[in-house]
Amino acid sequence: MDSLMVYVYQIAFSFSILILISLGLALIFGMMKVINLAQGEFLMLGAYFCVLGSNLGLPLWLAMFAAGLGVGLVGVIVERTVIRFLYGRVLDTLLATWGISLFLMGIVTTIAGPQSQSVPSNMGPVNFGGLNVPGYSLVMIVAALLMLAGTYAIWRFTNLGLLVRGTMQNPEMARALGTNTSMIYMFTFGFGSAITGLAGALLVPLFGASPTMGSFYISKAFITVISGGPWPLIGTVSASGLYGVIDGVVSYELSPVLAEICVLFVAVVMLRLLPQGITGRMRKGI
Amino acid sequence: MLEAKNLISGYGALPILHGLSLRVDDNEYVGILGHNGMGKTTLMRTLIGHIKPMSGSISLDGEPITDAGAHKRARMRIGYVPQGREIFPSLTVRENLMMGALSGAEKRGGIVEEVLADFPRLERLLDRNGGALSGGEQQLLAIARCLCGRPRVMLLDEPTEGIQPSIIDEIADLLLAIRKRSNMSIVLVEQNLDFIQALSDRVLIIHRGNVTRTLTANDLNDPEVVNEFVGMG
Repeated sequence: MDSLMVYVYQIAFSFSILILISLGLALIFGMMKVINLAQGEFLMLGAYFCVLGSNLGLPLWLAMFAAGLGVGLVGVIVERTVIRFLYGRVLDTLLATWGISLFLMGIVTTIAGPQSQSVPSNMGPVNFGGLNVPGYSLVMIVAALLMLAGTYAIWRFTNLGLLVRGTMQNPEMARALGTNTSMIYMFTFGFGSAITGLAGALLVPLFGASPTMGSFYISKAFITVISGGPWPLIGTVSASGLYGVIDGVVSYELSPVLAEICVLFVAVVMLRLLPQGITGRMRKGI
Repeated sequence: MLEAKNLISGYGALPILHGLSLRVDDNEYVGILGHNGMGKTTLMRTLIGHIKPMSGSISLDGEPITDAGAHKRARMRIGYVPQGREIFPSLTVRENLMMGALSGAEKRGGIVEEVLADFPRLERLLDRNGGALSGGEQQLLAIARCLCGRPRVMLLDEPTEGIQPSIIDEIADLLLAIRKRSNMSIVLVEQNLDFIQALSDRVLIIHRGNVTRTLTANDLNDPEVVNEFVGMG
């Protein structure tokens, strides 16, 4: 019984981390097709905004929320000043966002220094089905699920979500029906940035903030979204589920390093078998 | 009310319309006939705002809209049913219609249901994906989606292309009924002579990016005139 709960916890934990780091990318890369190499640095920026907010005396949860808003604002600025001129120009986007990524890393290192910083959650261990686990990790798991459900609900059930989906499928036709597609792109990029920033902030109590943390997560995020295939939200959830199980089980049984190797190995095999990704054959979805 | 003057427009530096002028009055259905490559679709894309003309002007009720983007023109209730229909393939039929209704000038509920009353075929397909519909059903959907924006003028580009005859008749009957009960105008680009004759008050002939002749619908009964256009398409 105990070992079952260990698995459940480990898998939920790995799953939630994958969801956190890839959800924003699922929107920006999966939906908008913008290869944003600065995505990892948006995550890092969220972490630092959280540390900053906390140092300024904000309660932790408020600092996290503010960090999400702050990174969302950064995203909107980046979209308006750089990205919007580059839609459909993949190589230029790569170059520009790589530049933004280096700039953000540089400026954060200059201001905050290269060392890692953290904010304690002040939550002790909790009993999880007979298991002693860090209480904050449960908060993080729930937060990841809420962010996922919220994003799905907005995209699936609101008028704004409909306009976003229509615009991503055929921007020219959406314009001819009265949609201000430029605003829709700005909103989507800003929203994707905001949840990335919030994710970065949520990681702080467990993993801290450091200027180079983005590069640690970015590849995993891309692997997850690409494995998901053409329906970014459902795909990212399924891929996070698959890799979450592998990562959770192997880290517990063997070691976290081996778990990463296994995830990568499975990703390579799976993309060989399902080159379109997990949702490649689905006809409906988001 | 919709008026274009001396439009020079095209792709890149290559003009396809050479000083074309056009005027559509309230409740008037204007047909446009011309061989392929003579600028019919370019004209439609310029009127909706996908292409910015190099010179010339477009106005709606005297208000210049030459510099307004497509979404602004749509909100001024210029409706567009493009060639190839451009249905959102992964949105359901209902969602496609809502895309037409959401940004419309009149944001009131029930508009989708109101429009659907004229499209019994679509009512059965509401939860189907747009991409899963047949060509004819997609054409009906594209017209219904446009009507959801309550257009004052509808730009209708080759609605009969590749569509089964029964649906072509349905579309013609519906558009005639709409003319009677509303004030909507239509600019209709078409190669199907019967269809354009049935609907149009006037037919403009476009040749090399200019209007070369204006015919009445009756003129299309004249075999000589028809002969000029046989072999089109």
